[in-house]
Amino acid sequence: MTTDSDDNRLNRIWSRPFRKKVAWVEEATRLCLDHCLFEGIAERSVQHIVSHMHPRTYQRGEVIFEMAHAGASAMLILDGEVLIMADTVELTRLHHGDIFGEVSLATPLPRTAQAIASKDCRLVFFLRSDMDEWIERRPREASHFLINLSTMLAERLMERNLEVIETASPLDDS
Amino acid sequence: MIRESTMLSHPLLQASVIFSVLVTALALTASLFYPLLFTLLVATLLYAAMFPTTSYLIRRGVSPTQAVVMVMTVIVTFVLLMGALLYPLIAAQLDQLSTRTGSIDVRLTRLLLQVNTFTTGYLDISFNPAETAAQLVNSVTHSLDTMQATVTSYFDDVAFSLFLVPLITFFLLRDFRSLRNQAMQLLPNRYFELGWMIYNATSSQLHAYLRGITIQMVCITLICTAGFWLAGIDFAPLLGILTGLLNLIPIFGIALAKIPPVLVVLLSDKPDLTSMILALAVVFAAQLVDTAYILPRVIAKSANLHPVTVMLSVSLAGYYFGFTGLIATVPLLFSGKVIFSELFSGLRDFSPTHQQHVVARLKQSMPHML
Repeated sequence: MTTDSDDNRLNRIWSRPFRKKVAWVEEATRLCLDHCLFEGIAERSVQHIVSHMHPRTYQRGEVIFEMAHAGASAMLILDGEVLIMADTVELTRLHHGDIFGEVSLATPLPRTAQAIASKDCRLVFFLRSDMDEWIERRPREASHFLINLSTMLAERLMERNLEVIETASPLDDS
Repeated sequence: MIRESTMLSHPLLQASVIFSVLVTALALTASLFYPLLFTLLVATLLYAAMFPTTSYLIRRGVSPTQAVVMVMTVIVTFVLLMGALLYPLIAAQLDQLSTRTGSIDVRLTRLLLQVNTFTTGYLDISFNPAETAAQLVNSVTHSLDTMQATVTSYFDDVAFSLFLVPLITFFLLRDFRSLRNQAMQLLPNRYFELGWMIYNATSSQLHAYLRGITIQMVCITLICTAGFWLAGIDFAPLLGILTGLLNLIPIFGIALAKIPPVLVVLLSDKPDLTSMILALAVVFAAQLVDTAYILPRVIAKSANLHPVTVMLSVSLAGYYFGFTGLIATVPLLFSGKVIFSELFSGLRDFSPTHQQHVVARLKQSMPHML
């Protein structure tokens, strides 16, 4: 039995196979331009790369990705709220305009946390393969993105180290 | 939460089921599109071969449509020119070849007489040329009839495809990406990332392989055509194309590719040993270039198939599907192997057992976090 959503998807394939969906592209471009990952990259390039991204919708409670699964993309939240958990520990809640899962853009290592849609969500997937293609096509612009990504990951590592230092008990002098 | 693993959630079983469904769907589509199958295959090969050039032009700042139009203009002009020049020549050569088969016994006896004189003089071995020729004629005539029928229908297909191939290749180059993205959107959320990972791993290998065999085929065809022409052997373009195609078949190809030039020398007005040696030397030289330069550079990973698998599938495909079966078996077999292994490895990475294993490792390495 096919659902309305399946019918809509099939209709989209047959009726408008080559048209880009402008509405979400504009919204996602605006959000990306405001995000530190896309700092220093021209609007036109961001719009181009966003037009190659993949929009998806998730229902409340649906798992976006599992911990320890291989990752292949980062996600931008257009709408809704995403809960990030490691095992049973809640790490953070992310909202409209946030990007998560960006570690997978840098490495194909397994995900270190689980992401669940805590409200109905509209997400945009930025695949590593799309980023690789971007690097090949526009290496200068893509290198800005990679520098931003490394800075973001380095800052997170620094924060985590500080947290560990703060929570650890000082060593005895003896 | 990590789900308990059941028999049905085993990655090998899952991969087998998905692979069987894919193969069935592909077989149904192939039977539906049977009249256009050859055209679609050629268009896909051209797409794989031309994709890097269009990508390069796009990287240099040319718009995607302009890049496709530029590459296609060159290809269409080349295909039309080759078609206009080559097809009448090849058709005429096939007719000529057909009429010559009538007098094969005389030609064969003449050649065997030469060989007999040579072996009697230098090796002190003699045989009855007329009797040996009579024995060979029956089998050779039958083989030639079959070969002529297959090759004629093959080139008729090519002529029919000349009009459709550029059109399909153009749309593949321009719109394949959009169609692929739309099709991937049909995947359920749970399998979206996994689907892309499997697709990327598979397509990069298949792209490289298809591009490799296209380059290999073109190179061998050009080398052999030039070689046969320089050696003064008849039907040089036809033989060049046949050798290029037959050379695609691993293991058997090396031997099979030598048959058409030898047969052509046998059927020539003056069949002699020197021409036969020259014909074999051209094929041998082309295969040497192929082994030393083309294979390691363009299709290094394609030799991963087991020789027994190749021999059995090529024999069966040749028996059931003729010339097209011989040529298409190994690329199809390789594609099947790549798709299945990538499906299996992707599903294994997403299996509960693998997940438990990775979580345990993460807990070990980051005890302060978990």
